[in-house]
Amino acid sequence: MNRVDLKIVLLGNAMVGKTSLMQRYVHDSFNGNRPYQNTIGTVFAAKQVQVNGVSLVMGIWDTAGSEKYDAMTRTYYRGAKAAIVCYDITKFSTFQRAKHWVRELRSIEENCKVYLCATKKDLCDEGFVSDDPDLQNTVEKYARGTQTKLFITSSKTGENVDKLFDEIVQDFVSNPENLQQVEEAIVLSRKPEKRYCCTVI
Amino acid sequence: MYSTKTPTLRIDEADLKCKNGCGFYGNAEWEGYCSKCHREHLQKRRAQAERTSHSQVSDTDNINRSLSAGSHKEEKKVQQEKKYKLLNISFRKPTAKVQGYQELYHELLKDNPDLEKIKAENRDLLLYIAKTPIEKDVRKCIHSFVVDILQNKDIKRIEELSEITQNFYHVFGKRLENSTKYADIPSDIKEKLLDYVERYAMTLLYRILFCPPFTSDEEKDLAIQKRIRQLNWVSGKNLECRIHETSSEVRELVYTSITDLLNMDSAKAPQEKLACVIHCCRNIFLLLQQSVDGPASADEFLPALIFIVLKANPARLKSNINFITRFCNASRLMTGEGGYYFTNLCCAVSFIENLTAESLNMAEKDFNAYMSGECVPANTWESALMICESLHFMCEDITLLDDLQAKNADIMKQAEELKNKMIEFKEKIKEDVSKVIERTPLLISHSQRIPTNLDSEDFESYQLPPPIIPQIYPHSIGDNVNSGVMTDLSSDLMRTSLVEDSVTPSPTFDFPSLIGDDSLEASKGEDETSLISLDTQSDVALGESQLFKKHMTDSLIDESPTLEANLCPPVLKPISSEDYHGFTIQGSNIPTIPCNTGDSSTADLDSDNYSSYYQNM
Repeated sequence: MNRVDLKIVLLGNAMVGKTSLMQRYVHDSFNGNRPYQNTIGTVFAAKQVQVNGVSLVMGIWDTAGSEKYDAMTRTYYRGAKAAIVCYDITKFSTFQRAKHWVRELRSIEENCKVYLCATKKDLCDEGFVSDDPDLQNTVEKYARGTQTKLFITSSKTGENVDKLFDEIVQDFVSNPENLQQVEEAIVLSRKPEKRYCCTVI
Repeated sequence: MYSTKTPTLRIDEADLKCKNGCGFYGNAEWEGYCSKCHREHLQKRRAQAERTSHSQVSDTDNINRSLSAGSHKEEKKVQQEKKYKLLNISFRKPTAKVQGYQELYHELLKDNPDLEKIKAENRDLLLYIAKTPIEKDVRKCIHSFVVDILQNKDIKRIEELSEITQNFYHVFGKRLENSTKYADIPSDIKEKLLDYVERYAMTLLYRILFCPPFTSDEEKDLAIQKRIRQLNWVSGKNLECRIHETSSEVRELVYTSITDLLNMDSAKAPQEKLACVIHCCRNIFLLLQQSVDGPASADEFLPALIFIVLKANPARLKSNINFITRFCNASRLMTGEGGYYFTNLCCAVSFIENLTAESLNMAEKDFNAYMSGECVPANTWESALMICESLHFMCEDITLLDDLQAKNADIMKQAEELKNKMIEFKEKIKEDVSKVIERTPLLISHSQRIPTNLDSEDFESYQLPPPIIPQIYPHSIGDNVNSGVMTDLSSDLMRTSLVEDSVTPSPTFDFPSLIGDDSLEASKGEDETSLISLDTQSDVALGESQLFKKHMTDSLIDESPTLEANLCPPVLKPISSEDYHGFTIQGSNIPTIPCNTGDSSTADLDSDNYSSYYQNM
């Protein structure tokens, strides 16, 4: 079935690891340590999950992060239920861009829940120093201030990746409005609106 | 156009009457004419438009040479559709309203190969539901929806029509879920049924809902087409997309995806159009996988898609996109993979529309120069393709040459083998022959002894006759020319028949060449071959000692010309002489021969010989 109940968009700069994050979650693989499986449609993935006895199909949309496509990004997150805004834990500039997306999502897609996701935690663990040593604190402060859930993940090790998506699904299910939409589609009432031509007097 | 149709439009008292002054009420929709006058007016105008459209086409052609012929056709088509639309309005009278859409409905149903195709594709499904209440219900649903659209198509805006459609999908989906009629169908059949209904209804209404004349779709189509044409210089490098143009596989995939995208326009139902987009995007992924090591991310995918759209320049791109957006079952198709790719396509299109120098990472000046067509960058896809093409040909030629070389080597090898075999064979034969010679020399000498004996005997006798032949001729010539001819002929006949028979049976003729040579020398006057000489020999053999016998035969033959029909007598005569022949070694054979010659076979030959002879004379 083609139907997708939960649309999740991945936002973030190019090279922050959006695709890797998706690969890790959907195929449980990472490009670095395993030869790439020839799966078509790495930018889109549908995955079925069972939560509280409800079967959900989530569709994960990868987006182009380059700044020149900023104007079109809106098309991507139309109708999204959740957005994962990624930033590179070692690069401050990517967080700056992430903030921009969080702002935009908040203003445009009210029904879309925003999740902040720091990627490449493994680099941090290996002792790689971020270009802004205070980045971690800044992000945490920002997340608290905007009431955004923050996950620090590593697609290479798979750390926190499943947790992030589980959280998204849980949040989705916990909203009764969403469930209602899944279980029964809202019947739009037809308006029998008839207009007559003015010549009929 | 729409504004003139809105019911809120106010009409003054003066406008109510027909402009033509015929007394009937006019209508704003009919440009102030009454229905009859408006129709006439329209027809007049249509004729004019037809004339001007030709000149328009040539005008635009001059102005914009780069415009392809295809777009003109499109323009014309749309114009015609518009006209058709106008006509339709003109016929729409309040009383005839019901009839109008019924007619249109039947017209749409009639001769629609696409509908037949859909039916054929879903034959299993239709058979499954055939003659059940479901079939009836499905038909009813489709009919009511189609009628609804047809009734509203001139009154409502396209957005409202889209809403009606989405609503119909929704209601029908609900009906499938909840109605008792559909309770016992498996869910996959339900899914198929839903798809079939959408497909069928949309294909039926395609002409009405695709690029409707009361929207600006057409203008947008032309605008984007022109825009893409202006941007034809954009290369993969400009878009930062990593397509390896030099690889032939990648190039093939580029062509395939372009074709897929172009197919979108020919597909009718929204899901079919969407399927084309999906195919195209999947091919893009394949080509990206060829070009980029590792997974292709959206950062690579979108530029590639933009590139493909730029190179494909699909016909009526905007109309197609709008059609899918409006009339595709949004909840069913727009959230999945198709939805994702479609969104990407929309993004690509909007990127192209808003493309600036900055988005291509180039100087404003260069961008403007390229856009205006003042200069063309060296590294365009086309030029790359051209280089590639020659490279491609070279590669092909090289493989061809390799092939040929391999084949050549093979042939050489086989020839060598054949040669060796031949040599072997030769050796073997030589060996065999030498063996045989070793084994059988005595036998050969034994067998040869008898003919040589015969030969020697004959030889002597053969050497005798030649002087006699001239003796015969003077006689015959002296007597009569005709009779001479006859003798010739008859003797010829005799000879040939003699030879015919003698060659085959007698073992004594193992040495004809010898005789031939000899006889040729001997019989100078005769132009016949050795066969004749054989005969002469026999003649001579018998005639040599007894000349009077010869005279006898001559005189006998002399008589024969009078009875030309039965040529038997001259042939028969020799028998008497042959009786005389008895003493020769071959005597036993000879008598049988003339008997044969006397009848059937010679008669035919005779006449032939006659004619040819006389002709020669």
